Amino acid sequence: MPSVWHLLSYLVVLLPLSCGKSGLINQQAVEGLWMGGAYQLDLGEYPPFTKILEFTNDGQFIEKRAGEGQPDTFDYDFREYSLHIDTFEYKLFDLKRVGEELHWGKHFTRYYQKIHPATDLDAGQVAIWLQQKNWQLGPSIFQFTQDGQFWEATAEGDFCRQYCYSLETYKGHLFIIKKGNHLNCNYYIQYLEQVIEANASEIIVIRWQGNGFETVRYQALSKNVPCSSAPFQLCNKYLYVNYPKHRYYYKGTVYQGGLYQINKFFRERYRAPKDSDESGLIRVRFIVNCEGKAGRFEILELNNDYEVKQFDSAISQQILDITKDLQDWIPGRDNGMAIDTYKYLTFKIKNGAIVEIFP
Amino acid sequence: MVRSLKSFLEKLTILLWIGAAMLGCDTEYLNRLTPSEEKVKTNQLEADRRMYYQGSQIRQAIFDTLIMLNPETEYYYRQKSIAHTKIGDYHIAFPLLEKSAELDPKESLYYYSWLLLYLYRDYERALERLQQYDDLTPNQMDVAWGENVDYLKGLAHKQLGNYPEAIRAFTKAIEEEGAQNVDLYAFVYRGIAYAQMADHREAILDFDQAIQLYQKCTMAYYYKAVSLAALGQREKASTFFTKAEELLRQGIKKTDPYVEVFDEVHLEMIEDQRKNL
Repeated sequence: MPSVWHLLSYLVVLLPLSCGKSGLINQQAVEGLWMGGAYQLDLGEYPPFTKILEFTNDGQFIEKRAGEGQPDTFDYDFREYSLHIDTFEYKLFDLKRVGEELHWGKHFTRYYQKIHPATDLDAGQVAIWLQQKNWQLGPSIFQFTQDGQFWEATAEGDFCRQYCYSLETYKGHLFIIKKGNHLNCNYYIQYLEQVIEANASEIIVIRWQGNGFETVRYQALSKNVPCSSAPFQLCNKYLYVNYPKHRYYYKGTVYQGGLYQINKFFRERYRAPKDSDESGLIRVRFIVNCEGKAGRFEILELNNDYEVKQFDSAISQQILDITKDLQDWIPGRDNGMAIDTYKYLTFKIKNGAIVEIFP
Repeated sequence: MVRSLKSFLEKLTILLWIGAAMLGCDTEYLNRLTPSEEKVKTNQLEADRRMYYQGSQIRQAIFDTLIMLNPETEYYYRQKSIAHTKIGDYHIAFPLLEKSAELDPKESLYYYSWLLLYLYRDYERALERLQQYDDLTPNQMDVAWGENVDYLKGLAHKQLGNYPEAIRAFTKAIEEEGAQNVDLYAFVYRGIAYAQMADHREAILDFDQAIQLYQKCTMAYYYKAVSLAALGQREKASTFFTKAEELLRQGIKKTDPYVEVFDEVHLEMIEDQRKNL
């Protein structure tokens, strides 16, 4: 007998299909301007994707990277089962119009939103408004500076994380481009918000957030909210633990002096509780960011048969605390650029003592 | 609230969708498939999972369905385990690996016995599994994940501090493959085992053999220097520390992206050794 979950799954799968144009997508369904939001890296994982596309009604496909120079223009035409753009061929099965969205690709699907008709917003005026006050959007508080940076605290009283922004008008539509990180405005991460209404107290944007597009309001705050910079900030806020390129071995994240130094560090600091009979493994996983700082620690405790157990906190908490004090991480690199990666250390414990650290 | 519900429903949908490969499927649906339909479905999922990177939850969900369709196929358990091992989720990977070893020891242990040594550092289990793998083909030199099984046994014994057994295993690997063909680190690690037993003269013979086979063997220079220092030959030791240091500064050493190799050499080790010269 079908369960509630089963029926729900039908509903969620069938709804979007029924909302879209029946049969294969056609030229009429894609004509117009589209703002990239994200692509699906995995279940619930959507890194941003910021291309702006246009399918004109006279067979031109115009592609623009947000914040970068001139767009590229190609010819396109729809055939029986495929869309041809320049020399590339795309299966029509892999393109779906879902309401005001365009979903492109069977795997790692890219999500686009039809660009809102709002035009003629003054970028200079919007920039002044943004910079004049602090803004609240959901639980987050934003401060935009004149030098193209902004600070975000995900809740009042939280640390602020620093990024960059710029405003760009394209074909009359205004976009806020959020990008970079606390070290580098040109870091490759960026995402788009289309401004559809703005005044001194409210700015309404369409953006991708989490797992879908949404229309949200920045609301001006009557007073500025002080915030202090976060002691640990990811250079890539979209780091994903299951993605191989975001793991330590892909890019060579190492500790200065390797396990030799780590062992020395623990020998000098770790004190095994007296008369402990606890044995097993403690794995501490964390992120080494592009600065070589470690953060986002998580601990896993196992017995010698690799089953989850709980160690005496005099052992596990001590190991976690000492691991947090390791300061000489060398970040992994991608094409010469320092990047964030996941890293872990496993501690083999015998009667409360550390007998080996690996891998 | 709406967003989290949406996210939940989305994940649920995709999991069901992948798990059942198409609309309107569930585990009962899989149970109703005929053997030939199961084969077709398996082939579809095999093709689909290759589109996703190792570790993707979508790919892992496809493996779950493949396991449901083919519960006796060792390969799917082992494949599913790989990404979990690599990020230290041993508690997820280990039962999958045990199941794979139970279903088809020959296929499984080629990887699993090697893995227990290098990534799990579970030397007792590694020795057990290496022996089991070795026993499958008696009187034949066996290789696990590309490495001589006796060499791997030598490493496990060495790590456990069973130095005489380690030396015997390395010697066997050298005899099986010949000095020119064996992994030259059989000499280095046998040398380290001798050194651990304070037999520095035998150790140095092995380090020299390794250097003869590979003149940029940083590890052999370093551990030779340590043995020379232990014999009181400080000046000579200093020369070999310098040689090891030169190679390290050029980035030349035995290393591995996933793990630190056993007895890996670091500049800091040389600095500390020099303080004691």
